[in-house]
Amino acid sequence: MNASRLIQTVLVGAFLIGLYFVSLFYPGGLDGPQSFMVTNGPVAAQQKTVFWYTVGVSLFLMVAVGGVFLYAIFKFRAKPGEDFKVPEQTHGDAKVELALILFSCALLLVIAIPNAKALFYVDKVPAEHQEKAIKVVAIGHQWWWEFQYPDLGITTANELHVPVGVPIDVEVRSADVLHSFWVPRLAGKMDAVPGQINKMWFQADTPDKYYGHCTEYCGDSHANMRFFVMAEDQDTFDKWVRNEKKDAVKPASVEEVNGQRLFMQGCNSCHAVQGAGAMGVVGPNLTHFGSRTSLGAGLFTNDTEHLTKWLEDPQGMKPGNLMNLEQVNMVLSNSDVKNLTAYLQSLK
Amino acid sequence: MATHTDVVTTPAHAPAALPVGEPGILGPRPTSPTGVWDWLTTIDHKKIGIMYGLFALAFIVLGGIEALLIRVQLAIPNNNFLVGDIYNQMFTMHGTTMIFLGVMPLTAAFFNYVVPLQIGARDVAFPRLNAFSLWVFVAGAVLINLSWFLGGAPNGAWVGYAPITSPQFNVGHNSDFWIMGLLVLGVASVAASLNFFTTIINMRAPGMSLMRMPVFVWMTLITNVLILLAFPPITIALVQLLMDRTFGANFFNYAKGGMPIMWQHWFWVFGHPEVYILILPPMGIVSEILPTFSRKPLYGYPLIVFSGAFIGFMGFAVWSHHMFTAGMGVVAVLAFSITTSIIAVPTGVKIFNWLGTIWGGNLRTETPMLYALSFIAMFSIGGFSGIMHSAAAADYQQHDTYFIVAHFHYVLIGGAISGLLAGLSYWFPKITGRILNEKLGLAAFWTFFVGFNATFFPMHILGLNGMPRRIYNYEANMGFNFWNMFVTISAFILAFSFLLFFINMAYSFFKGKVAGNDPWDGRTLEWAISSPPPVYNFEAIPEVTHLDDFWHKKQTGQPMPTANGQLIHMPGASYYPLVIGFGMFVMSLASIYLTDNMLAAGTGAVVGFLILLFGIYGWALEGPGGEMLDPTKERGAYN
Repeated sequence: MNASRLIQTVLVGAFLIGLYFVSLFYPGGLDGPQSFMVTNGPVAAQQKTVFWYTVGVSLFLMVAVGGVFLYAIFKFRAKPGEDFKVPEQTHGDAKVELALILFSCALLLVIAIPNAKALFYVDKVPAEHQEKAIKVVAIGHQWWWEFQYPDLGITTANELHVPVGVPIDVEVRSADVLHSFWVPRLAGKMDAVPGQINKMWFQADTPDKYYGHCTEYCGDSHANMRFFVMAEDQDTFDKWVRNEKKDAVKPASVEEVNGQRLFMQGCNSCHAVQGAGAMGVVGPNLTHFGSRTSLGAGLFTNDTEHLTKWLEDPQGMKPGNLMNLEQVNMVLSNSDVKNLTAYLQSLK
Repeated sequence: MATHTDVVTTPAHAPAALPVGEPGILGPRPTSPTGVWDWLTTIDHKKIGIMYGLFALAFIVLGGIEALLIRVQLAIPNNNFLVGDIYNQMFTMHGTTMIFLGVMPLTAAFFNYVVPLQIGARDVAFPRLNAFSLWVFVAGAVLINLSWFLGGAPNGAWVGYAPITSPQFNVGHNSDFWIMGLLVLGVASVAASLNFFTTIINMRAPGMSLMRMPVFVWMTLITNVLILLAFPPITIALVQLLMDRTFGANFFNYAKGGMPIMWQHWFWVFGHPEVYILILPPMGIVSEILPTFSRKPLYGYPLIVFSGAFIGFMGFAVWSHHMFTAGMGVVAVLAFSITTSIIAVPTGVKIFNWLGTIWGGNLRTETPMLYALSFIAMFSIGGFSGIMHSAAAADYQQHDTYFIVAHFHYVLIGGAISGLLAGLSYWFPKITGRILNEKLGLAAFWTFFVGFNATFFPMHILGLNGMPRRIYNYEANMGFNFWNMFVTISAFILAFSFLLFFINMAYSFFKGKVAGNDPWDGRTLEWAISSPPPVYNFEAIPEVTHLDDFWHKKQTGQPMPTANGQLIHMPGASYYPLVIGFGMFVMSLASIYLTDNMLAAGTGAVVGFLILLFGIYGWALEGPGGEMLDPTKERGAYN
């Protein structure tokens, strides 16, 4: 091996090892808000356990096979001037092959057993917890999530409130195309398939705002179909439930009254505001819109600035979304936007 | 019926059996020996192979440009370069182009060029059908890409999951181009698969039993069986979707009793074997290169062959592992999880035997060997992440994240493309008569190796960190920023490596070192003949007595047989494959517009069909054509 070859090999080797090393230990590399390497619930934890089994087996194989491979490459390189020497000819050895095959099968069992156990565990809420589980129906729409609590009589959107330590029994459905319900820190995903009721469950162990994302390609704004799971202690959750059950607050200021009137002249055909007579089911239920932290399916902070921008140009804020004002010939003046903003923000 | 490969002992016997040179009732066959018409009408498997290769490389460049545009958009959070639908078109076309127009035809290029040479044949079984496959492939490829100029490219992702491609959710003709294009490409693939299957079964040199076939021929055989069995399901699915879109049927419309999930089953019953259609040929190529450059026979030849067949078979038993999260129920998930992990065993067997091949060898590390070694390493990494997905419980998290993107690019670029570049470097001297420049080749290889790993390894991290696939933007607080920028820069390095490879091909084509017949001291029959081979390939068909027969002949000092006054019948060229390809193109293009204007589009489709019909009649009636060659007189022209 000549010097430049050696330098080349060392450089590439150093680069690869460096790359793999930096990848794994780069700060923030594996603990983003959507990382499933950080888990906060039993379902995600089980799935991560299986993941580590697969990593263990793979790393073992990688080191063993990779070691033999690298050793062979360096050990058996042709010496200068002996390029065309013919080495001893071997054709294979049945015993070695058989041993390797049996060994591979055994390695697969190491993964298969925890995998099977985890699959049955994450399939449905364990029997002993079934009574206290809260039922949720998650319905995927282009491009937002509708969340219904059938036992509590609540319908909300994009922010799923749950109490910590309680299993959440989720029915995943779709209103149009395929979507997938995924909150990585709490549980693996489940697809929303039109005409099909898919079940999954999760449980949050610590109060937090957990990030979720639709993970089945669903069209123009697939990238913008985000949501949150707001895990709270039982008291906060109960308080939230009591508030959600109420009708929308009555408009108080002049702006809010004007906003409501405007809302009932068009927005109501797609959006519901319980108690105000708006009963649209195409878009998110806005009865308690003002109490949500985000806007446009987890895209923006729910504040005056973003809400104003949204009302002025929903297509620019979220390409392709079904709130297309030009299509329905709806023209909003500046004061209209201001009134609507005030009204919507009052819907705590 | 006599075939064109008959060797006639004396010219006197020829005319009765083979009316060589007589025009059919539609006029004489084309005879240009060179130039554009020669290439357009050729039925020589070598020229067709070269054209497949050039088209495939052009589409790999196109798909690569699409990939770079995707990476530019993802370089920084909330970028505005390609937003919404146009981004979706870009990744749909990137996947479709790379799989159907890039890697598949590149493997077809090797089937065409190499298989007849390796089995000691003069051409494939049906030379005109071979040209037909090529031109129908070109028609389908052009059709899909025309969509960019006719209202927008397909935007349903390469899997086209209904109902996102159903008429209710996908207005415009984007998906129609995709459907028609894939249907046309399917015709080309199935015709080619029948052709290669017949060629390999029927046209091997005397003495070449199945277990004396080179492994590349074996993998070609298995791949073509897979194509034959896998394309009908996708064709059915595409026709159903076509019915939904064009004639208001409801196969995938849930609101009218259709069943969206059926699309996924149809698609993956095709789609998973398709993965092996892409990877088995490069495995075959690597199994040719490793023994040649280790100067040892392939370790465990029968095991490599049977594990290839087993992988192909199991390919039909694992499709639902793409659907673990589609709500199939825990028993189905577990069953497919187990069948999937079983595939790791034959794959492992192949890797062990490749290691056994280089173990104790005398390795020459020229570029073909480097790409082959890179294939083993990178494919193994893709295999390891494959084992990770096979555990369904873990896959619930990994599914549709960048972890998956990393996995299949390790398999398809680190695996398939590495293997195909190995093949290109290996057979370039046979095809052009000149060896690729080694210095440029090394530069291209190391840039490829570094660029590839730097592009795709960090995607594992992005996936574990929760970055979903097929999104065009992400927030700055997600922890995706650093690696996305890193990946984008690396993608340009990877692209540069391809540029170097192409520069090397162009340079070496004109200025490369002359190869001679056998530059690598090869083991299989193609190295016994001149580079490039004469039109009839072998002066006289050799008698095969061993696996790696040419190596055996060289080691024992047996010469290859030469011609002794025997004449070789070579088939004539034909216009009609091209005509049929054109007719199919017109017909499918017009059909796309049936929903807009039934009369005009219908007329166009009928015209296309008539052209097609004319082509078929012309084909049937043009007569055998061809000529009798005397290899002893031709010899000077090729050496």
